[in-house]
Amino acid sequence: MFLRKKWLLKILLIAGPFVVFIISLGIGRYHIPIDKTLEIFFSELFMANNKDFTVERSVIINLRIPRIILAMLVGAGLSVSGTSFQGMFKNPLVSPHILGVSSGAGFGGVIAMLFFKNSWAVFLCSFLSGLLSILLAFYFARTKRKITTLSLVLSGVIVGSFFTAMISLVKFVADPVDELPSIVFWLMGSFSGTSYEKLSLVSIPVIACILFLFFFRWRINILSLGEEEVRALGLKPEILRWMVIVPVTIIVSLCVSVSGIIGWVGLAIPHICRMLVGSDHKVLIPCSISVGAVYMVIIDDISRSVSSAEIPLGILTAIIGIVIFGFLLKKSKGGAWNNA
Amino acid sequence: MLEITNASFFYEGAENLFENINIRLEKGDIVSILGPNGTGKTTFIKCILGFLKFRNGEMHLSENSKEQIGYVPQSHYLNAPYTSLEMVLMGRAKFIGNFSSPGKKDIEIAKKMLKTVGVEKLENRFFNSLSGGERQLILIARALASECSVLVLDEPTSALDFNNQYRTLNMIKEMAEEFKLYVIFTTHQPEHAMYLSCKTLLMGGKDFSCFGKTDEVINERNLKKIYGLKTKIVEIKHENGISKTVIPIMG
Repeated sequence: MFLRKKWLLKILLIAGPFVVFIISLGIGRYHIPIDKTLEIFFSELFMANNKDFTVERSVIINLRIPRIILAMLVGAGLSVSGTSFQGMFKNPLVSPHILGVSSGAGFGGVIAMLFFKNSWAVFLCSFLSGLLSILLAFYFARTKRKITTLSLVLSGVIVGSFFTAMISLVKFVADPVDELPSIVFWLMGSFSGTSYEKLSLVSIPVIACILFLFFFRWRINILSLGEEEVRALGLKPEILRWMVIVPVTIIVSLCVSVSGIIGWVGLAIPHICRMLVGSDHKVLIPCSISVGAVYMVIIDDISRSVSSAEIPLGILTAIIGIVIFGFLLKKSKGGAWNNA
Repeated sequence: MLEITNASFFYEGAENLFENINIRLEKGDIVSILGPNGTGKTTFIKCILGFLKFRNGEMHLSENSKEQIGYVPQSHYLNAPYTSLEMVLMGRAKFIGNFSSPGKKDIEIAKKMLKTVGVEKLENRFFNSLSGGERQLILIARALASECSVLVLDEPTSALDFNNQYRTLNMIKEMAEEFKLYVIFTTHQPEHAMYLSCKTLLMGGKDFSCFGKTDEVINERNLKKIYGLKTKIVEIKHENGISKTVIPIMG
């Protein structure tokens, strides 16, 4: 545990996302200095009448604010999902993609790109096929009216691999000049093209699911001890498990549907947080919400500012996430799983 | 009063593991379950806890609720990166809603239970860093925090050193008296059964089981029957009274 002072941690976790949000408003190919950024942002917030239409205002209000908020939601959502899953499955290798939801959602999106070429169709199809894939995973995992954790993970891997293969098939048949690049780019993840409409559609369910997991967090402590322990404490593990899987599925399929498959956030951030604050989900869940949001926004800032073409997020999350992760792993002598 | 009548159980596709088991406990009674590996001790316990269902037979508890059973599992399997206080707080789980965390009252109760079993100093230590004996006491405190009236322990003394075995047994005895609990525990040591329990259930497979006062049930004939081993039960007088021990006769 690096951060022992609770009040300091609280302040950092609450203030961090706000600070990063404000700073990010000025970052991008069109650079806006921080004083101008603050002026525009606060005049928009408090003085709705006094509007002068400048390029800066338009960039910040119409492009960057929805994009940054979406990045925060996706980052927080994926990372809290990963933390909850790692706790529930008692396994540090688990990420929110383990049950095949993201591959399923990815497949739906790719199909929609091939046939409808409409961003709303992509959104809807990928969300629905994400939900479909979890149902498939449950179908295969269920034997004798029982679902064990191991069989669920296995069938998730099966369903995920199936959809990954299907995505490859779609790529294979797609037009290599016109369709293939956009499919590949979408799959690697991006927040470009975020609008207020999309944001408002996604934000309510994602925020609701994040809050659900936030308030559920003490139960995840109990779930992390294993099924028998849960039962011995007088609770029903089957029901509690659903209460984690359902919100995570909704978060993941919505995230994929708006931003493509962004790997590593849901695996690396929970570990980084565990090294920072320990394994108690009462602290760990809020920590991963905040750190996930901050991390995703910083990644997106890099993605849209270092080169003239945007770098896909999947690449950056992997490269940067792995470097931070590896460094912390070394420093913390093998992660916080063994003793905390 | 806790009563189990005519209990039997079999796993899918196998023959009866045990059958026709009858036990009866009064408040404050400690029952030990003794028997070789594979005769269904753990299965019997799981049925009492409600993890499995008796195929036949019934369990009656005069307080009439299954909610009131506290369980102390074998602690050396447990990987829990939480502090002792957090662990004991989990005993309060069924009083705390799905979407809330333990409150002041729960913390008070948890601390009280830690004190009751004499490990209040371990409050902020991580469960995983504790010794086997300390873990056992924390888990007993956790069961007590759940306000149980029945305490079920699965081999509470296995994996403990000599001193800690008896510390744990004494603690179980004290708790049974203080909270007027029904205590059921499994063991591989006939001495522990004789040391602690007033009643004993011998489980020797589906053809032989027997329940009664420990002094009457644990005898050389029955031990021979369930373990296939010749033994001698000897009494030793010492300054605090008389103790019994079992000596295997090899030959």
